[in-house]
Amino acid sequence: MSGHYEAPIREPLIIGHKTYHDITEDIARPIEERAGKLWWASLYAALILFVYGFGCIAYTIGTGIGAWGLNRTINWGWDITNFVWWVGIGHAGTLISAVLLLFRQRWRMSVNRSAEAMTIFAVCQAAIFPVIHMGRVWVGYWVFPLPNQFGTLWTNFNSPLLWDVFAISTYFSVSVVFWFMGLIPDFAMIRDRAKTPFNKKIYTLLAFGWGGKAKHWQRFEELSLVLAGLATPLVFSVHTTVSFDFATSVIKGWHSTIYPPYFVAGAIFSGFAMVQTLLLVARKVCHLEDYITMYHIEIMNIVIVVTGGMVTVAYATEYFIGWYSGSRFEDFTYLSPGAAVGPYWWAFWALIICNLVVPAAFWFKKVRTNIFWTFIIALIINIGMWFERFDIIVINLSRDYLPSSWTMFKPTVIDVGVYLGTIGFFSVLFLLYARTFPVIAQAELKSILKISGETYKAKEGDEHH
Amino acid sequence: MSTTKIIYGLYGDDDDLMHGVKAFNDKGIKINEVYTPFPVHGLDKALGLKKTRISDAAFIYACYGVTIGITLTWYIMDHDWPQNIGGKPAFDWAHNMPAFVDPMFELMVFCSAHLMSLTFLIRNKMYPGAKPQNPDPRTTDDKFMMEFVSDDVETIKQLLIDTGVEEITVKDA
Amino acid sequence: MASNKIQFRSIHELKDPTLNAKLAAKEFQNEIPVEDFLDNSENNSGTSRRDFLKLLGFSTAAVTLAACEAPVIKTIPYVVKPHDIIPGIPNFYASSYFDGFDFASVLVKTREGRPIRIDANPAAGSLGTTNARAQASVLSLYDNDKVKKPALNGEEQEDFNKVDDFILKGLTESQAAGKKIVVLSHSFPSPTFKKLFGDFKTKYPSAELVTYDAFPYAAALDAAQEVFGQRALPVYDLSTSQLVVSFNADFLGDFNASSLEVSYAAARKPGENMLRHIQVESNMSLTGANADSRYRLKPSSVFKTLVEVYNGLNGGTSDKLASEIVKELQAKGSNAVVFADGSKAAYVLAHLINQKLGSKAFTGKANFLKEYDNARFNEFVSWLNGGQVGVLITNNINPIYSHAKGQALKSAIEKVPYSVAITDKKNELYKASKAVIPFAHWLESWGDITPETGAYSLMQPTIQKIYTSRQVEESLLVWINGKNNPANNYYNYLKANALTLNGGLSFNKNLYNGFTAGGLSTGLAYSGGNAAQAVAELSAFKPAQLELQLYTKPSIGDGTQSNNPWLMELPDPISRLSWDNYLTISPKDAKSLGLENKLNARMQLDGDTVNLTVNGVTLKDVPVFIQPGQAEGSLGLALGYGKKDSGKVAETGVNAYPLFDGYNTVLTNVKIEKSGEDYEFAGMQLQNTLMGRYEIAKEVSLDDFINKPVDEWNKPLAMHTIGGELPIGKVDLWDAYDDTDGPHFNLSVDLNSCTGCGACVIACQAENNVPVVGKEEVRMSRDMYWLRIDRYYSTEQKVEVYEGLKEGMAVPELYGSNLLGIEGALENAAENPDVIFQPVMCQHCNHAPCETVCPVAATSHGKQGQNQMAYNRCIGTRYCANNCPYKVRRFNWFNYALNDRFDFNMNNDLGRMVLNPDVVTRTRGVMEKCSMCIQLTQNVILEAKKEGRRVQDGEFQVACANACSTGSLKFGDMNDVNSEVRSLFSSNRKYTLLEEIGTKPNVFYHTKIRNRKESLNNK
Repeated sequence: MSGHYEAPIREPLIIGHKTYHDITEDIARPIEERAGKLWWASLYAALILFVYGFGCIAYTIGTGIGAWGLNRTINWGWDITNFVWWVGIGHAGTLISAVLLLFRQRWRMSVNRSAEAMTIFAVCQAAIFPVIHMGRVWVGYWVFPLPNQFGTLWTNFNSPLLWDVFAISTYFSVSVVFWFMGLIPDFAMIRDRAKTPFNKKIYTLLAFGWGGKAKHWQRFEELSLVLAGLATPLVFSVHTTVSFDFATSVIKGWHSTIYPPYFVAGAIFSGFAMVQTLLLVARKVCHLEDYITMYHIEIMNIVIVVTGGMVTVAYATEYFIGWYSGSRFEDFTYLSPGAAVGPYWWAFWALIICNLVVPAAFWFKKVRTNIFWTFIIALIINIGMWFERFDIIVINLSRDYLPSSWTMFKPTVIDVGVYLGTIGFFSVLFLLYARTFPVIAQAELKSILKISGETYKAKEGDEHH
Repeated sequence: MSTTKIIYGLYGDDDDLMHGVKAFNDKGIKINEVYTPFPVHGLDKALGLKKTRISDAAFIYACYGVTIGITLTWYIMDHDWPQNIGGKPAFDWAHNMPAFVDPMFELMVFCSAHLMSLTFLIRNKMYPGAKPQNPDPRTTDDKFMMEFVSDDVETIKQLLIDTGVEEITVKDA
Repeated sequence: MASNKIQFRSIHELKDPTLNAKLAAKEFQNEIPVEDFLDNSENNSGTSRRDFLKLLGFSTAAVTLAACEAPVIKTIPYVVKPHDIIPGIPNFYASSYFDGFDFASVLVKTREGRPIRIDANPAAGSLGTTNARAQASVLSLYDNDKVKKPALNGEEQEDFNKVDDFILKGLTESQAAGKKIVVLSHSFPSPTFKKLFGDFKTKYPSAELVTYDAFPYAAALDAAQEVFGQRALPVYDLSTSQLVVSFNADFLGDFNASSLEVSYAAARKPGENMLRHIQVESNMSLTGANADSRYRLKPSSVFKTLVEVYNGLNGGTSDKLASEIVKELQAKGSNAVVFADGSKAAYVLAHLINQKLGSKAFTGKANFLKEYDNARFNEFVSWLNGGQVGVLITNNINPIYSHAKGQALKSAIEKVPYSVAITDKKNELYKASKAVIPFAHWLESWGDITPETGAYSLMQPTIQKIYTSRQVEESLLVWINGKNNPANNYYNYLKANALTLNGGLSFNKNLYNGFTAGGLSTGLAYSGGNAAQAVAELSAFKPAQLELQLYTKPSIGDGTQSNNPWLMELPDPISRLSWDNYLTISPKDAKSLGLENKLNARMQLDGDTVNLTVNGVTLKDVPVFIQPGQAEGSLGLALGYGKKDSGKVAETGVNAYPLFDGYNTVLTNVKIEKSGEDYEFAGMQLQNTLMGRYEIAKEVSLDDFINKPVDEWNKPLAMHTIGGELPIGKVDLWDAYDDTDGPHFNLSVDLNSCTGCGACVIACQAENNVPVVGKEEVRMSRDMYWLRIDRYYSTEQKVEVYEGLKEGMAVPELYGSNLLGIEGALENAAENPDVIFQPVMCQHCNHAPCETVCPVAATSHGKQGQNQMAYNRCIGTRYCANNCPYKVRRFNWFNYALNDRFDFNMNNDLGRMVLNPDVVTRTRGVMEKCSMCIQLTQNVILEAKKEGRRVQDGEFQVACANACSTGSLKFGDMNDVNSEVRSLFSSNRKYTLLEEIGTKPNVFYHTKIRNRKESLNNK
């Protein structure tokens, strides 16, 4: 057993005396069983939101951006707020699977598959907004450096928005590849168990003929390692780039050098919160309590409380520097006394309470290890992070350099509809995923069964006495 | 007719499999292939597989991506149609470069990740809808299978049984 | 030299000039024998199958090519091309803008025979300046709501035939019956018209010419009658004055029927003798906003003060304010001048004061633009009611709307057997009259005007009459000479008469200049004036709790052009509200009466409404606007709004004319009661103060300007660098681009001479096809103006933010907070604030933040310094607008052209005729902004190139600078060493907006100077 030695004091990652076959069974069950009422109900609910939202998008494209509550001073509102929010959420997945893989964190194996799925679906939502916020969607493809019939018309590589185009598209496609490569062996497993010819066909298609040859496994591990190595800086670069949209501008409150690290921290913060929200549900629905254990939940809460701390420090810095600069323009930035008591006080305090005060509860193990509270707090964090982006965009723009052009923003029905629509779309994708995909990387999991499976740990324990 | 046969040995546990591999190596009998449901630690060494060069490929692809990035930014911003954009220097690429780091990096990752994955699939002869390469479906669940191509069926059978194989199948080549 | 350039179409042709000839020769290898294929001779046709196929191929290709042509939507071909019209080249015609209310001698810019813009006529000096209304009047020509056909008894006619028969019948009948034939017209100071009417009267002795004006200057004329023995307004010239004291007189607006802003601005050049301006007034007028010292008094007290000042000058006064004013007046003596408005007596006293001072501002010239005579009009009314009027011919007026007793007049007019309305709208008068003749716009008419002593200005049509319309003169000719008489040609008539008036100029020369010396020579001299009576009247004036003063806005005036969307959307320079008139009230009164203005969630204004009752006449639901600087106990309301039946736009607002009884602008016996809440105002600017950011709009007192070093009042920003302290202009991350060859444009804005009149805004709108977005969109803060005039009020105390913080003031105390219910020191305007106007357009930054962030490089920097916008490339991310510190970029939230949601001039064929063909109309989803009128500058450059010469200074033009009569806006080439703008750049008053951001703008500003004793810094 020398091959798989692990310190016995470590608590098992897989509980409930599993064998390899049990794992196979557990993972395949949700796919092979018929869906329950709850699933159908939530799918319909999600579909309704989804359709409504896309109605609103169609209306916007049909009549003009004027359908939203924007004005000459506040030219971005909910559109970019939602974009940044979704991108932020789309950070946990790749982070978990890539960074934690590099750090050899075995606990990731139970959660990375779903986290990655969430990432990809979230980025899908995020990608919608930069597209539809364009005044002329139909020429949106001009943001790509395409040779064209217009002559020497090219993109402007000085523009953070163009950097975004590259960053987001790369991040999305790489995440998809990373995710899919990991799925192949599991698809193969489903394929080999599939009863109905239809499933057989589908999963044969998806499994790419995987056979688990020794050489292939060797390449497979190398591939995941290198992809992880590439994805890790990518994760950080994406939200850094998003933060450049603001940091490289001249608008006070946006023009801030700490944005990149602060945005990345915030993204991980919100990303993990969303992972918690989803996994706590998936865990119940798909009966994965043995794989996603309290240990997983707690360790993710720790990540949340740490990144939350970073965000807090960033807020404090912004507030302090704003005051310390002595610039009268800074008195109205989104983290300033002006904002705290100004017309947007409610947004300001929503941000402080949801992102600073409430998550601090995770410092207490009691809360950390309580499923109910974890779920509630995770939700609150998601709300708080939405407000963070809203404050950054709207509060900063609304109190501009020239007082003559000061205005305020109020969303229209269409604004709200589009946002709800993306939430619906996201849920639809995730629900379908939960029924059709192996929600846990079972191949990987099997490889650590003997290290941190409960049965084997017990054995080890005996030997050591 | 040739006496060459294909022998499949099906193990129920990865540790038994590893013992088996060692035993055959001692006997100097060549194991044609091993099918496992998950990457068994140390199996590749035991089988004496060469280190894969897929990561080297990744590096080359990355360099390729960076090159594209440099050429693209230089051609578009400084050569084909240089413009005065916010007074930023479009005189030569070097002055302008800091603004291009981001897209260049993204292109590097993009090329590297995708081309490497492509290489992986090609080298493994994998493509959508390819027929399963594993002779026995159980090998993706919880079984581990050794594959031999040999005419000395008996010795191999014996050795398999000694190393605690669960099931043996013999087929004509 | 321009001559010896080689023209070539391709590099190959440059190498070998004969190339084209060769290619042409090779175009058809061997020509196709079409003829002998097509001729019918069966035998020996040389046509082979090959030729047939060639022909077939050719024809197929030809047809295909023909099919590729773009479809022609609408074309109006010249049957014979006029020799002087070249498509694409604008023609300018000198003419006179006169619509019954305003006058200006102007140049009309036409393209392919369409007038598209009104320019000032430099030859005419101060009479040649254009205000917002003059600039906008070109759009009134293309008003789709205008009357398009003559009508008789309610049914429309194709021509004037039946109408003329009807009228001629009426004329002869009433002549026989000895009934009056009345021509009721607005003031019409046209000598030729007068002469023509003379002929008319000889033909029909019972004919009478009666003048009716909506806003008649009755008091002023009566006073003139008394003081000068003549019904003409005195002409003033402030250019040498050093002190002007105004009592409720809006002399930069419509006071005295002509703005004094030109000589006013000239006299306010900073220096020892800079004109000092004291304003004593009730409403916050445009003039008051420009004053150095402004005193708020309700109208009655203004009268009292005027009296006291008069007494002070003749003996003495106890009144504090009056004695101060008297002291200053006496100090300046003949360099001072006093204006007063509000009643005849006030005018008389002002005249007498000026007489006593021997004020040089009084030129002795007479202004003939206003002719109204109350007695005369009342006489007419008595005829009307007495049924003595046989024929009533009304010319471009609508007393039913604009007269206090309009409804009574209506029923009386309906009784007139033969009533003819020469009108441009299907208004109440149209309906009340038997016959209707569509009014010919001044751009379609011949005419002449004698605006003032020694001035003669011709009016010539710049476009064929668009509809079947006829100007009153033509009609009179027809009615004198009978139909189809060759003598019915007003052009000849005018030509003949003009030669007797234009001082021996040839008619064509006169037309070319438009304006010339000549006309009437009679002037004005002091010849009377009963001071005692005036004093008595004013002293007898009974003060009231609330006193209402009616006024006219710079945009709408008396309402003649109130259906003009440009003017209706033009924000009021003081309140910055567009699309409304409203009851202005002082903050104190509003509080005591429980009236509120609140900001909604989009930071737009919601106001209470009141029922306003004056002398028994009640206006329902008048919105209330709380106006800082409004005198306590006084109210203000603008005339000219709320026109029914004159087009959708004109219906905006409430009609205040019913209150204008007896033409008193000052009304007591006013009652108001709150009638409703949340009236939706559409505002351009809702933050009224600078919030302590004083360096945005700099001002300094004259003393400081003269005595203190520049660094104390206009310190150029410096930056600490490794190479020591450098001025911010010199600090740069990158090597600058070379912009030294060719022109590099800069625009200079002098806050000291900007009066905020708004002419530049309309000029920009006309030149650049800026759309009108309507009230709802303005209320969404989505106006489309490329150029706006910001207006800032001063606060009670002047607190520098960092000082305030140092002194322990918390942020809420400085800026205020609704949450904590704290009023900030910097938040709200003072009760009697200083006002500063600041035109803001694209600053054309050399380091433009907007350019850097555009992903598709749709906006980049031009070699001439413009920040250029390629509409066709824009994908509408709006990032540029966010990143613009000046917020001058405007996004097309919708299609504003050809969209029924925005049913203004761009939504109908007629209205679109005003569009400038040199500037594209922008579609939905693209960003737009000031282009520094690149179409104009490029045109100048090309002209100069063709003539192979350098561009002279002053040749380069932009619409706003053209329209600016006070010379606040100056445009020019910085690379031209002796250009005016370059010398302005080196002025010590010069500063750039938000310099610290380092955008390096190509627009710069000049500090405003306040001519007043106390230093402003601790005000």
